[in-house]
Formats: sequence, C-alpha cells, structure tokens
Amino acid sequence: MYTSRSHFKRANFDVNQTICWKMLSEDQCEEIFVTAVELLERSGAQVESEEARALFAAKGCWVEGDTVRIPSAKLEWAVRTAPSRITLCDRNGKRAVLMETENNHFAPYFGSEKILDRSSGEQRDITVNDVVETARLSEKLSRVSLVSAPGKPSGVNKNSAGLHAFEALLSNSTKPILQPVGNAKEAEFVAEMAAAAVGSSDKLRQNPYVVFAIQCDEPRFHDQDALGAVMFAAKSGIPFVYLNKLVSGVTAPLNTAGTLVLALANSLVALTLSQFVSAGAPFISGGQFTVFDQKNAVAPFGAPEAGLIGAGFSNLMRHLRIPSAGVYGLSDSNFSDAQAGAEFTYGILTSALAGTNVIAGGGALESGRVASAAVLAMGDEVLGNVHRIMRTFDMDEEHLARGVIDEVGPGGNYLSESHTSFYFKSEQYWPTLINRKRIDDWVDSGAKTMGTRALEYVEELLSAPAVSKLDSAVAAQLKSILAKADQTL
Amino acid sequence: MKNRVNYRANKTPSMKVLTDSQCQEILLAAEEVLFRTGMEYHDPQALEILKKHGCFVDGIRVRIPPFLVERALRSCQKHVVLCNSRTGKPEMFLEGNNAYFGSGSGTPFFRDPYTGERKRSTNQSIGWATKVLDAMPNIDFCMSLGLVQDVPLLVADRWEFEQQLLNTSKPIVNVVTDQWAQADCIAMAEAVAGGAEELRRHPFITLYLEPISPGIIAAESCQKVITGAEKGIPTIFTPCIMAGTTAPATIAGVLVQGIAESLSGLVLSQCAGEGAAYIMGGVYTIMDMSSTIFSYGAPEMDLMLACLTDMGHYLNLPVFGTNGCTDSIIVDEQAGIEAALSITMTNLSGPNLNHDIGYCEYGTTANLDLVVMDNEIVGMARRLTAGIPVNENTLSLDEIESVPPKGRFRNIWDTDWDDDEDFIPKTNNRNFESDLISRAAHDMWKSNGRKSLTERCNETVRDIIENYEPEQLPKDVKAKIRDIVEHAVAKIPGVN
Repeated sequence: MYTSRSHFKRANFDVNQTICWKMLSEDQCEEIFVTAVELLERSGAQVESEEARALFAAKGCWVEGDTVRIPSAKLEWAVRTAPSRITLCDRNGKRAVLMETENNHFAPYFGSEKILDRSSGEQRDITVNDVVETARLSEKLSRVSLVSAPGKPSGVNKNSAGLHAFEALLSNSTKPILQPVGNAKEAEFVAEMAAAAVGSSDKLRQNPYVVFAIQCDEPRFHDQDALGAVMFAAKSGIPFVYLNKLVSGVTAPLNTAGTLVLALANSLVALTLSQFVSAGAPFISGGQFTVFDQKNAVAPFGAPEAGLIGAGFSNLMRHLRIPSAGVYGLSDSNFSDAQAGAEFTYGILTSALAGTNVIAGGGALESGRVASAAVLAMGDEVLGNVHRIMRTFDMDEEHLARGVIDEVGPGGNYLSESHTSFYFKSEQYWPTLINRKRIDDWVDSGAKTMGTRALEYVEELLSAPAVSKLDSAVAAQLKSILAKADQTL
Repeated sequence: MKNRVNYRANKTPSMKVLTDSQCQEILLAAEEVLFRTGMEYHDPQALEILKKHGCFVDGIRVRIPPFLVERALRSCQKHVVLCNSRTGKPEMFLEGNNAYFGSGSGTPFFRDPYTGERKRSTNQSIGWATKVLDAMPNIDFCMSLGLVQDVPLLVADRWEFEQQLLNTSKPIVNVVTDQWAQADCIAMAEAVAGGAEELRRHPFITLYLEPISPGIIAAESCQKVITGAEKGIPTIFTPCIMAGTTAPATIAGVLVQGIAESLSGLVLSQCAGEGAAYIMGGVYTIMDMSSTIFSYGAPEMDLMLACLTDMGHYLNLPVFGTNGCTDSIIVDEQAGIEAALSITMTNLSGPNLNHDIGYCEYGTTANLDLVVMDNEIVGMARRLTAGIPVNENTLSLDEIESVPPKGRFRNIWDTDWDDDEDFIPKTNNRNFESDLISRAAHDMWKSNGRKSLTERCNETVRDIIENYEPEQLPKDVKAKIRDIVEHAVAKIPGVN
C-alpha cells in the first residue's frame, strides 16, 4: 500500500525475530554443568530412599551408606534421554502448553500459607473456596496457562488438604494443573483423580494434564518422600518439576555460580533417578533462589538476586535442553503497593527474558507466604507487557513505512493515514489494568490505585458464571477418591 | 588445574533487539527519507550552513545527500565525558553500554511532598528536587523536574538552572527555551567551571533540544545545535514521537522517522562544527488511542528505546534514553510496574544517559517519592546487569564439597579472594541492599504502622529536604550566577 521500493529479492538478511537475551554463554553453561557432574561423580549426594539407592546401585552408580556417587556417563546419558519438550494438555485433551525452547507460561504460586481476604484486606487461612476462586480466576486470565492452588486449604484433613485443593482445581478450570505433592501416596491419589477426569491413565500419559511439583530444599540431600514421588511420577509418565529452593549463603554457596552448580547437581540426581526408573520420563528442572538478608534475618524471594540466579538457571536448562520452571515473580512486600509492583515485575521480566518455561510465582506477597488474587491479575497484565516487548515487530517495506513518511512530510500528521488505522491495533499492546486516563478522568472514575482496580477486576471476573463444570459422574468419582484419601492419608 | 582455550563468557547479561542487518536497513531507510523527503529547518543560519556543505535547500525544506550523513557519522566525537561541576573530575563516560540514570525535565506540575497536592512547579520545588537527586546514590545526572512558574516566565529557565547549580554537583542536562537563555546558562556554567575553556575541557552540562516531529527543527533548536558545536558542549537531540500521530503507527516506521530526525540534527551539528559531541536522544512511544496521551509507561516505549540503543551502538553514537516514568497519576503498583520494566530494560540494552526518573502522570507531574523509589529500582537493575561471574573461584566446588549434605554454608564473602584480578569490582558480587524495600515479617510491618513503599520514600524525601546539604558553590560564584539571572531580561532583544 505504501511501498517505495524497487522489485528486488535479496539473500543474507538475518533478523532477530524476538528479543535475544542471555545471562550465561554456552561455555559458561557447560562449565557449570561439568562442575556439577564432577561434584556428583566425586562427592555424590545423600539419598535417603533405600529403594532409590538400590536402583542407583543396580544401574552402575557407586553407593556407600546413604551416599550415592553417579559417574559422568550416567549423568550425561540421563540428560540426553529425558525429553527436551513436554506438551501439556487441558482437561479435554487439547494441546495447551508447549514446554519447549524458550516459551513462557505463567502460573499462580502454590506454596502460600495465608491469603489476603478480598473484602477486609487482612490475611487469613486459605479455604477450599479460595482454591475454587483461584481456579475460576485463572481460567479467565489469558496469560495464566497453568493453574494451581494458592496453598493447602485449612478446614480439611491436613494430610489430604492438597487433594482437596486438586479436586477444586479440576472442577473449576480446564487449564493444566501444577500440583505440589509431598510423597508417593499423595501423588498416586492425584494421578488417580486426574485419570478419572480425563478418562483413563493411558490418556493422562498421552495428554499430560497435571504436573507434579516436588520440593528439594537442602544441599545434596534428597529425602525419602520426595524421591518416592519422583519414582512414582517417572513410572506413571506424569511430568514433574523437581524444585530446588536454595538460599545463597545458607543452603548454597554465596557465589551465584556455586549456587547454580549445587542446584544443577540436585536436579541431576532426580533427573537420573527418573530416567533409571523409566528412560524418557518427562522431567522439568525447577528453581526458587535468593540470597540471605543478614540485616532482616530473612531469605527474601522478591530480591533482585532471585531474578539473577533464576535467569542463570533457566539459561543452563536451555543449554542442557531440559524444560525449566521456577518460582519467580514473588514480592517481599506485605501488601499490594508500589514495591510489590516493582518486585513482581522485575521477577517476571527477568525469568521471561531468560526463557523460563513455567513462571510459577503469580500472586504472592511476603516472600510467598501470602497469596493475593489482585496481585495475580496484575502479574498477568505485566506478562502481557513483557510479551509485547519480547515479540518485537516486523520490519518489511510496509512496516518501515518510507512511503507514508514521504507522503505525510515534515509537519504532517499520521493520524488520518490509512497506514495508521491499519496497523495501530496490532502494533500496540492494549492494557486492562494499567491506567492511561488523563488525570481528570481518573479522578472522576474514583482516583483508584492499580491495586484497587485489580481487586474490582477480580470481583468482576468471578461474578461471571462458571463455565467449566465437570460431568456429574466424574465429579462423583472424584468425591469417592477424595473420601478414600481422607481415610488413608 | 584448568588451562583451556575458547572460553567465551557473558561478563554481563546480553540483550539485542536488532541485528546489524536490521540496523543497516533502518539507517539506509532514514538516509532515503532525508534525501528524498528531507526536513524543515526554520533558521536562516542553519540553512546557509547546510547549503554550503552540499544540501539541497528549497525554502526551508532541506534534502540531505547520504554522503553528508555518512560523513557526519564518522566525524562526530565518540568519546563523550561529563564531569562533576565542583571538582571537574570525569564522572560519566557516555559510551558503549554504560547506563547512567537521571531525572526528567520540565514538568508543569509537581506533587508537594508535604501535602500530597498537585501544584504548579516553583523555584523552591526545583531546589527540593535537585537536592533529592543529589542525595540519591544511583542517580548520576540531573534534569530539573519542573518548570519554574513563580518568577518572571520570560527568564524562568535561568532561575531553574540556578537552583540546579546551587543544589547539585552532578552533571546537568540543561533545558532552555531559546538562544538567549542558552547564552545565559552557558555563562552561568562557565562561572561555575571557571571559564569557557574549563567548561569545554570538563563539560558538566549538556545542551538539550527537541525537533517538532515530524521533520521540523525550529529556529531556537537550530541555534542550540550550532551553539553546542561552537562552544564544544555535548548536545542532546531528542525527537519525541508518537506512533500513529507524529510518526507511522508501525514500530519499524517510528524508528525510520526518529533516526532520520536524529541524523538531520547530527548533520547540522557536524556542518556547524566538525567533531562536535552529539548525543542521539529519542522518546519514542505510542499515543494511547482512548485518552490520546503521550504514554510514558507503555511497553512499546521500552522496546523502541532498546531499538534506538541498538542503533546507537551500531552507529557508534551516545544514546539518551527514557525510563523510570509512569502514566499512573500516583505512586502505586502501576508506577512500580512501569518503572521496574523500563529501568530494567534500559539497563539491559544500555543507552547512556537515561532520563525521566520521577515523571508521573504521563510526564505531567514530578513526584519526588518516585525519584527515591526509582533509585532503589536502579539498584535492583544494576544487580542483574552485574551478571554471573563463572570461574574456578565462583564455581565454589571445594566449598560445596566441604559442606556435608543438608549442611549450611557461610554467609560471609571470602576476603582472601582478590576480585580485582578478574577486573570485577567488589560491588558487582555484593547483594542488593536497601533501607526502603520492606522485607519485614507481617507483625513487624504491622507494628511499624503498615507503611507502603511510597510512604517510606516520602519520609526519605522530607528528610533530605530538611537535613541534606549539597556541596556548596563558592560565594563569589554564587554572586556571579545571581547576577546573570538578574540581568537576563535586559539581554533579550526587543525587551526593554
């Protein structure tokens, strides 16, 4: 329409189709990898599970007491054997999340102890209804691709609280679920419920709908429950995140590179075990990092170091071709304020630029202790901004617009050009919660902070009727599994 | 133990939006615009200079042959340094990816730090703002953060500059209305530096101008470019363009338009004085289609600045960037989001002088609480930009092996380790520390009065206004400056 060029065809024109961003070079990643491998081959790790130790021994690792040393060749084999990509499906078996290359997906944080009550603004215990609302909200937020409960609900059997949360998620959202599990028994119940929801355990294996999150909080130490869950996941072909929660200067070395070595070594133990159980088992390497704040005597997961170390870890996983996940985008602020905005934005931006496949830190304050639906909605908006930046733009003759520049000329106005009306919608990001009103209009509409607008937006989304109701036969089946779990756990 | 070759490290994170091919494409498109469409210069002296150097001048429309653009790109000064106004020591090296941060310029309004009211900026408010900027460790240079409106408006920019000179020793980006004001402000700066030659050798100010996009350079602006070239003071040329109104709606089109305008200023500066230091500015953003504001928080602004920066690196020109600002009326979550996004992106892409810290309400109101908050965010961004050093020391293999499984590590940096050997400043590896960011437990926060970051920043602002003393100028210098301000009106032709 506005072309001014001659009819050429050309070769050798390279473009960055997206932003190109790297924290670590390939050589640095390799260096960290070989150091972690050396660590596991020479000094090994403590493996609490007898069953796991026996398997390691049977596969040619060196077991002495609790300590397992894994030869380089075994580790490298495991890294090669694990899939580089995992497709997650929704409850209806449709492709929903591509955990591959450097795609980003967003999920609410799953480990909070409390939740901010939306009407009083005060902290209180998490209820099953909060999980229901998180699921319904996540269903509506376009950048949230995986759902999870903000934390374990109170008022139910403590040992099966996670399963109550899982049932609430299953029943109120169709998006894939990120589900923390503490041990094999709990994982089995989750798998049984997920299989019931999608039809069968074969279907669940072919169209993975749930991802386990299995926590590892210690340096070179893997507890029995966690490894039990790992082995169950590998056996049943359910993808799982082995989530390293490490604090530099406490449970990891103060040096960032050292923390990455240790985190990778922890991940490799679980990865190798899962591949020994079943070669090709889907494995996701997860991270949640920070430094120790001596002054306040806390481990602040909203600190900039959380983003720094996490970005390094995601780069490392990309180098190894292992899908990555992490708890990034938390804030240390005690409530929703400018600090919260700055911190979760920083966390989301750095982990997104680093190509983290699952950013599982949506909607969490106080270093993760408190969940907030409004903060989750704001995180969704921030990821929209970040993705607008990441996807960059086209640069062909039409977009370069030399023709229209010549036509408009100095002192002209582009507003009335058809080039403008054709392109302005696709070139711009259209925000939902961000205010761009002029001051008078903003005052007229109540002079609200973004936090207040986000709260109202959440109320509005939740007041719409729920859409993703389960089949009643399936719902009954879930209830009976849940009753069984309540008794056995 | 490790003697190896072919180890390429990212000493810092690396980010690129445009490849060199793309940069070249934009440069050539801009050259085509300058040659085919041209620009309008509203100043007879500029037109004469451009004609003499081989431009095609048709009235005020000037078409610039590509060879002139290419010559100007080669001849302009590449090593641009700004100094401390009190000591004359170099403080800012505007080259490569060095990112320095500073405030925004003349907003009509400011938010009173004591009452929270939105008021017209005053002489006092600019003094306050400059003091706060001077006190903030992550702020490297100052713009005024307000237009003085309680003195004779004809010479208000001299008052504004006086407040800046009195309250900060950091480099200043000097924004004035016309050539007479520019002459006065340069005279004031010379008084501070100790003469014209001293100012030329140790510049602590830059001149600043904006074209009227698309494609018009007003007479005053032309005169500023010429003055900068003659006086040897670095000049910032900043097209402020909105995709869809003063530039094409497409981002690629904005870049072509913006770079063309920047090059038109560069050509004038190099024709006026070969070798003049020229800083390529650009506030490229979108117009919000529902409110028609010039958005200061849109993600497109961050993206386009990163592109402009890639262009600056490709052309080997210093870049003047925009960040730390917000469309939000107040300092709320949105301000935090937009400031964090823009500052982090900016530090990653690496423009050199980055202004507009403290801008609220789409650049209409200066907010000092935001300045203090942005100072923290710059600290956070710089922690990320410090990167992850990977070497035998930092890999910490021995340390990891010496701590048993489930054990605890030391939280003290190893003093035996000489960071300098790797040319890594010690601060690079240190953790980010802040007195304003809250990491308190819930009860502690409650008992401290449930304050937000904005409230804590406001306390800091008031404390600085009441207790902070910037480094003073000698009495005689102050008197000289005052004298220039008081006699400013008389020097304007046609007045009196």
